[in-house]
Amino acid sequence: MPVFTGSDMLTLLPAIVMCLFACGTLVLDVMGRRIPRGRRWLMLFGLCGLAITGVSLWRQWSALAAGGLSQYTGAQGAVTLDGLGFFSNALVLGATVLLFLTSYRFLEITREHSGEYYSLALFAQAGMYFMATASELITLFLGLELTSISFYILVGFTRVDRRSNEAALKYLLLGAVSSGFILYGFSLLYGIAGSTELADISSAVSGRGASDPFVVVAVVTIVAGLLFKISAVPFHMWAPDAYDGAPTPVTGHLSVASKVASFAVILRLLPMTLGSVRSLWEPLLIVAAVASMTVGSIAALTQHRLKRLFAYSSIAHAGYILLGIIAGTQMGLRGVYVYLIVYALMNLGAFTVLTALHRHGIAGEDLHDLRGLSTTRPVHAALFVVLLLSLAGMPPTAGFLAKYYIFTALIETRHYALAVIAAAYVVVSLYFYFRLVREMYMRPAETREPLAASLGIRLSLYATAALTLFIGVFPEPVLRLGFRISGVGQ
Amino acid sequence: MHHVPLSWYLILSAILFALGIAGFIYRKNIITVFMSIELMLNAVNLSFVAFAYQLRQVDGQIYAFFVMVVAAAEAAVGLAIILTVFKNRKTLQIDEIDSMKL
Repeated sequence: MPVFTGSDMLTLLPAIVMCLFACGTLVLDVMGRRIPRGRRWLMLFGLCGLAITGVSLWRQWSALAAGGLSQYTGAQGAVTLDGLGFFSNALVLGATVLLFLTSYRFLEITREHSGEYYSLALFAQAGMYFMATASELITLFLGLELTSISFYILVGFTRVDRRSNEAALKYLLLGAVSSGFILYGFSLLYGIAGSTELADISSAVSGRGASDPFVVVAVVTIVAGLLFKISAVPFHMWAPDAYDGAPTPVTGHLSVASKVASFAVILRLLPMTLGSVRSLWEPLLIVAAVASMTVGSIAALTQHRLKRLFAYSSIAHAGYILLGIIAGTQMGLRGVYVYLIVYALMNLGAFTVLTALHRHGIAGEDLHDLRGLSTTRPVHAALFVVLLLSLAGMPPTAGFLAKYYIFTALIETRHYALAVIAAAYVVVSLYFYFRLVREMYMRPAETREPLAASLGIRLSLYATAALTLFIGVFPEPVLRLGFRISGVGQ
Repeated sequence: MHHVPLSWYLILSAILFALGIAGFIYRKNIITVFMSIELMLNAVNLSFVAFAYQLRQVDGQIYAFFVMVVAAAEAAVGLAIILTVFKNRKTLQIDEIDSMKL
């Protein structure tokens, strides 16, 4: 039997491409230090890598569609390509492209520009590939850690900045503990099933039932660790500090890509693998979802640091997405997918605006840095309003659609109390998003320094805002996509 | 021939894991906190190896090797981050690193 077959190549190709380009970026960085504008070529080289990754993902998808298969297993059962994996990888790929586009000017201004940045982003993306597609515990764990370790460094990338150091330290310590929790749960699952394959674990756990103490401890520790990764309350303490201290483009990437990939892990582990012991983890998720919406919405009211405000807002969004998993029906999962797409778009757009606020001599991280944006940069301000409306869940933007599906799924499954609580916090969140609009439109500008609006930043802002509006007005393509994935993934 | 039963290993692993959590919560020095995390990972390794021995498999032992590799990588990155923090602040006490408190 050949050790490495064509189907293995097909399943692993995107990750191989990402790792090769990540190493290539490092080598070129060393070689090209003296070339003028060398870093621009480095970024373009990274973008080439992302393009090739995109092509190889597309080839996987078409191979799957051509064979009429719902999933495709390779690397001796370690990696499974299915709707969930494709969905997460495509979204993460898009987020990384926007990261590259928005980072260039930011890194030039902070004088911390080097090839490691792009390389680490590519390694993180390779990690997230395995998070989304792993169907075996060792691969899943390695994917999680490759992602986390890359992000620890990216968060602390501005070495001279004390806040960035501190953010990296807090993220590292709490992230490592959460990995420890997940790992402890994995060890018990391995003991229960005698195998690291998720399929074996699924049948072993359903044989043991929800009253077995090993199953209980395993589920509780794994859920706790995963809630850490998506920064859900009560394991959210790291998020405001890490988001605040990290370089702004990295914050955006952390809040979108790593969250999407972590939700992919949650979807694969909880409903798909541990679905038979739903009675164990569902209450935990309900508590976490309600607490996340509460803490996220209330704490965001008083923040004056922009990235902290968005940290709390993304905690609240994590709560909403968890509601879709709690509902658990086809409609709920469809809601989760739609919500993740929309969340990625609007959050990336919002962080693009925050990145543009970072100018020479101006940190652009405080609420009053937005003052007068409507007069100095009317287009940026208007697009930011669109994104904020979407974050608050107002029609006709995409955010409304996402919340609509979650609420419908909750009502279908008779979770009336949860639906009412969630709706109440939508009203609260309107207030704190409106504070940003008020700063932009009702206060005079404090500085004449133009925004750091490079081509990349403008491109990613226009793209995300336009898509947010488009999905809000013509939801049909995204809904079909969500339906297709939730059908394929089951 | 006396065999140590599996449950003893698992209890020891749980105790070590709990000690790691306690150290993480109560210790004030960053290096000690970091060591507590390593203790948690080693507790996990113990239970993997114990299960692997019980099941007469190598999967669990291989898993333990991967955990060690990842722990080493994490330590390398972690110590580098701790070093930059120390350079900027001249302290390793966790309470004093709080420039972002509101």
